[in-house]
Amino acid sequence: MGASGVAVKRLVIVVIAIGRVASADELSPPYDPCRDSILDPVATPVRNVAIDAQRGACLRDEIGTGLLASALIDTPGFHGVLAGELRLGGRTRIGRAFELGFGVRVLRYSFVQNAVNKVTKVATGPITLTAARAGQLGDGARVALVGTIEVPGTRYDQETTHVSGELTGVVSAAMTEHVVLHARLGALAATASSAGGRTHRFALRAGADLSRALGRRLAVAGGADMEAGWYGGLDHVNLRVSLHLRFTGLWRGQIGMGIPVGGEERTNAILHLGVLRDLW
Amino acid sequence: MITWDARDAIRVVAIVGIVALASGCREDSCIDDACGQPCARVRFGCSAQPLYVGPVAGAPLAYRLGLGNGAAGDILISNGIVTAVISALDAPNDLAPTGGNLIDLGPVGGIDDLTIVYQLAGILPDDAFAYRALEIVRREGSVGVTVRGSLDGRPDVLVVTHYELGACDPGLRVRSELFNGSPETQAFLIADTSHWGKRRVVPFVPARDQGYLQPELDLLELAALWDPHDHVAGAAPGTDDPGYASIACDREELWGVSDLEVSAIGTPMTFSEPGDTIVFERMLIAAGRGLGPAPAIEAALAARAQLFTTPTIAVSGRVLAGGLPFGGDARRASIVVRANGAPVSAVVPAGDGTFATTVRAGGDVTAEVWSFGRKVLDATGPAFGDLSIEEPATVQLTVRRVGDPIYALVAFHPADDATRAAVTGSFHGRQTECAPWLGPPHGASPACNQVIVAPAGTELEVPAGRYQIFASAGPEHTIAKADAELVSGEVSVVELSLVRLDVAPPGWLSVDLHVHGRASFDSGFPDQDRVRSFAAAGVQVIAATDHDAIGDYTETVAQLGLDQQIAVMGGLETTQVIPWLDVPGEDVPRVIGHFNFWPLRRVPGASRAGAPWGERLEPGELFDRMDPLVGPRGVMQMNHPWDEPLFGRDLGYLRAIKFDPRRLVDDPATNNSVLLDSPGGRHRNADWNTIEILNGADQVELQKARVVWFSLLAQGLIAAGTGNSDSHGMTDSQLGWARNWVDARTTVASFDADVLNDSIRDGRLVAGNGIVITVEIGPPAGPRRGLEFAPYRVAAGDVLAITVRAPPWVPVDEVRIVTSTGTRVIASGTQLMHPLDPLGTAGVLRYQAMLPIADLVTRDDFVVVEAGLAYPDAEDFDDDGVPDTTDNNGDGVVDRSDIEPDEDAGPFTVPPDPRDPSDRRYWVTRVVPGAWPMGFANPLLLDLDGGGWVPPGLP
Repeated sequence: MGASGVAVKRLVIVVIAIGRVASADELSPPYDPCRDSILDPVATPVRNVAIDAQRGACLRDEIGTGLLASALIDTPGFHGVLAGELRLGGRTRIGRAFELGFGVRVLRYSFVQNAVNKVTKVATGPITLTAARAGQLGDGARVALVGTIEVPGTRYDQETTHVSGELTGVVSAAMTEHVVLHARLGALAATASSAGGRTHRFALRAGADLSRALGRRLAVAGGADMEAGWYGGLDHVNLRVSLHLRFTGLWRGQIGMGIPVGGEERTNAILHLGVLRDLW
Repeated sequence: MITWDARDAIRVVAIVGIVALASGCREDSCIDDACGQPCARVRFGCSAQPLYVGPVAGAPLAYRLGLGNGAAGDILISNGIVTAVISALDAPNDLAPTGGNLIDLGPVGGIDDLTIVYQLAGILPDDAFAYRALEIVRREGSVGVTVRGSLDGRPDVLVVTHYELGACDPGLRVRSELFNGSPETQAFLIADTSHWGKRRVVPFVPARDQGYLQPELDLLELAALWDPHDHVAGAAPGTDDPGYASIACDREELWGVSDLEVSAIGTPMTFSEPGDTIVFERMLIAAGRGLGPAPAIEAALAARAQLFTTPTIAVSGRVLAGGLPFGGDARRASIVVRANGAPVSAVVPAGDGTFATTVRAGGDVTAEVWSFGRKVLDATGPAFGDLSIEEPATVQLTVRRVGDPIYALVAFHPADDATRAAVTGSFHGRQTECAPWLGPPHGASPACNQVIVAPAGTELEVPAGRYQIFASAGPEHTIAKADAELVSGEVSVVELSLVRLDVAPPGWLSVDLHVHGRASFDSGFPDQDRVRSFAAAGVQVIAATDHDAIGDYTETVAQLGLDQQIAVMGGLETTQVIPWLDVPGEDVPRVIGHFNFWPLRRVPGASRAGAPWGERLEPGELFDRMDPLVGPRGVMQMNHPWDEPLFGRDLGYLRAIKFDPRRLVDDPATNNSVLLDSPGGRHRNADWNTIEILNGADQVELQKARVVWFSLLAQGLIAAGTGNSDSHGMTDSQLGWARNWVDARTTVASFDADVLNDSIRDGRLVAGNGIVITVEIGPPAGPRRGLEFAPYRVAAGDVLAITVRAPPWVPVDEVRIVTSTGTRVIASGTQLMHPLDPLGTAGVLRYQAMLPIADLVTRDDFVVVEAGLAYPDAEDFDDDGVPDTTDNNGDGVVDRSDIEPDEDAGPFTVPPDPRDPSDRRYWVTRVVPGAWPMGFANPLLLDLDGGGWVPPGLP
């Protein structure tokens, strides 16, 4: 069993352990998987512009900001990319079934090295727009169809036209009063076009996270996302862990880490620190 | 439950439509087959001549360049003002992985000084532009070539370069594009990389504290050294050499680095995300002949002024010496023009002493005049008027042997410190420093402090001063010395006489099997001077081994009437420069080092003169490819097996594969066993016929190469050892130092290369720097057998008869015997003859003895006889089995305090040439700089028990 397989096995053991602890609680089903936003997944996106950001099926009213850092260190290939970005975003419910959201990459600092070529870049943009339609899926579960699109022409660099987006079906189900399972299945696409040509990327993704509330202010989560097609075959299995905190009142904090393993993926790690505020 | 309605569908369609519109608009590009004229805003006017684009073989003769690399099938572009040649796709050259690169550029009627200009995106082999399609372009008023492909190791990164020449252009208009179709963000650049080779074109960068002097290029610090300039230029300091310059058209500055070995000039290092395109437009200009880079800089500024604000100013003047016009040669005068203290151009005055050019303006304009390698005058311009400098002395030289004038090499040495201080010079601080500096050290004679004297006599200009003048004609002659006080403006006649000595056995030929000339990328030495140097050194047979092109001087030998004195074998030195070889334990790919092959037939008009492309091959595969060309009686030689890498490229194969001489060849715990692999199915990687043990006149390579040679001999991998000069000119290494003496069984007059090479392959040769050792084995009373690899069945009482001969000016302090058990000194001090008069004829015989075989070996073994100076102490600190460090701090002990900071071993240095006549090396280093006298005889294989020779194995 390879390293990625061992990691998946360990994650499953953790998930089961969380579930078993949950099952020891007093039960009074069915539970609302959206009852507390600290049970939402913490995003650890691998792809640029966070088009593969993980979320649940719950519609929210919130704004937030976050720091996202990623590292690609390919020593045999003499290649490395280190990046950190400051993001701003928010979403709001429209009626009972719809949600609209936006995201802005306020600032991105990147360092890239190919052998002895070294370049840094500071950039802003793009803006992304998100739409979701959600509904009930039986007792104790919600389902949503989520779409995100990068708005063309909103990046700092105008010589290349970038468009990217994703369409994902998400299910959030309350396993117990304190445990919620989020599962997703979707597709990503990106195209970039400049004077010299056009490049397209497309991938399918599937994943799941299990969030467990520990008291009223803290939730821990673990999960995995699998992606295939971006590099042609299996891209990665993104093993994720996170903490979701409620500070005080409507304020929340998030810490998440993802480590893509297996496949052709070049990115080695993603770290997300976020602060959000529920609007009401 | 989710339902879809018409409104949802409309939303989706709208989004898709926006995406389609946004991604569909792209500007035209060369990658897309919509290539406009590069540098379109730049215009030149003239009376246009016919344009040509097509194979070199079909080009008008008047449009072709002298000394070009272009083969018949390469593509020539010319407008009658300048000519360029783009290599055919299937004809890669030098550093480029494919064809489609600029290999010749020069003004019509002139010569080409380029090796190659190719494009890259980074320093890794994967980042070189690899072209796979070539298109000839004909337009109204211009012609061109477009080449397309990808990065060599990244097929999803597309590249294109479009070359175009307009009717009146002084150079090529070039546009390159790189499209990042990979899924990752990269740090790319586009740079034109020119391989200058250290000894030809000297780059000129118009930046403060640069000019001809650039910071040392450290590839690991490339990002810090990657600097902007508004133009970059260069020229070789010869009388025929063109000037080169480049400017960017699509941005104000070029970015890059320049170095004597290589320049890389292009865009800044660029953040390249998937889908990004990098574009680079520039002009590559060639102009002038023997005038330095100034004509090309002038044309570059004229182009740049049409694009960007470029203040310029005209400068002019005339150089006089002794009241008379003085110019036409960079030796006489070479001028660096500065604006506000920063060098902006460099010009060589014409024969009438005048110079006039346009330079970038900006503050006070000054000029520094250099003459014979020294700055002799500072002046203020821009109209400099008459610049008077000191007139040199003129010397008329003749060297005779028994009254008959001969070819010889003459060296000038300052006779006192005042003269040395006054005449020590260099080319504007670049290249080798010489005292006196008679000419560019890597160019035609006179070069550095030496001159080739022809039988008709030779006249040259020398800075005034007191000199000791030495003449030599190789180790089979005496040397002669004359003292002279040379006065400015006066003519001195100096005649020297040499005497031939009986150093080599009669009938043996002196042979140099590693020789470079102008056909090599790292030589600026003209063919005629190259051949004259053969005669001046007394070498009778040459293997012409230019880098990656079959060389041959037969025609030039005949032109000079030397065909009864000198025989030439066409040959080749394969020089891998594209790293590819994975060596266990190494993070970066390597190359296999250099190999010589001869005899080969030069094919005029063929790519690389008929040499196959030798990149990305292990030695065994290379031997498979070369074997049919050299033939069954030809020779395949491993050169300098432990030489240090240069610019990240290995020069020595055994060092590259981390061969451990202390371990068996088939030891699985080492990389040694790769020698036994047959990667191409026929030859093993160890199937060379000869190994170059002596390379050059010093002992650096020798002390390392002998260790690996003896290890291989002890294990039964028998190959002859050779000693060669690896000369590229008059200064780097002198022709014939080292050389071989071969029991040839043929003569120059009726030369049979096969017979000579049979002797070489069979080990019937000795090699040395001025020392000849003859060895025979047999009964004391004779008859005895000489050198050859057929094992000798030792009989009781057999002896090893050793004779060591050397000219009186070459010291011999030891005679050594080497077997599988080690090296021991068998004679030294008073056991050897030491001539009293180094300038005389007595004392050629230094040692003669018969040694009982029984005293030398106790089992089957090999025996190598060496003689010369004692080896300097050296240690092996990196634990690879080969000495690497000498006593560099002079404390008498070789320890870790001798190691260079931040290194784990080395350096291995040569003691400086002595100035004290009482020093043992003084006289030989007057005529052969850096010489460390040493000689060796090829091994005898001793079969003691008559059961066939059994390799003795490692100790």
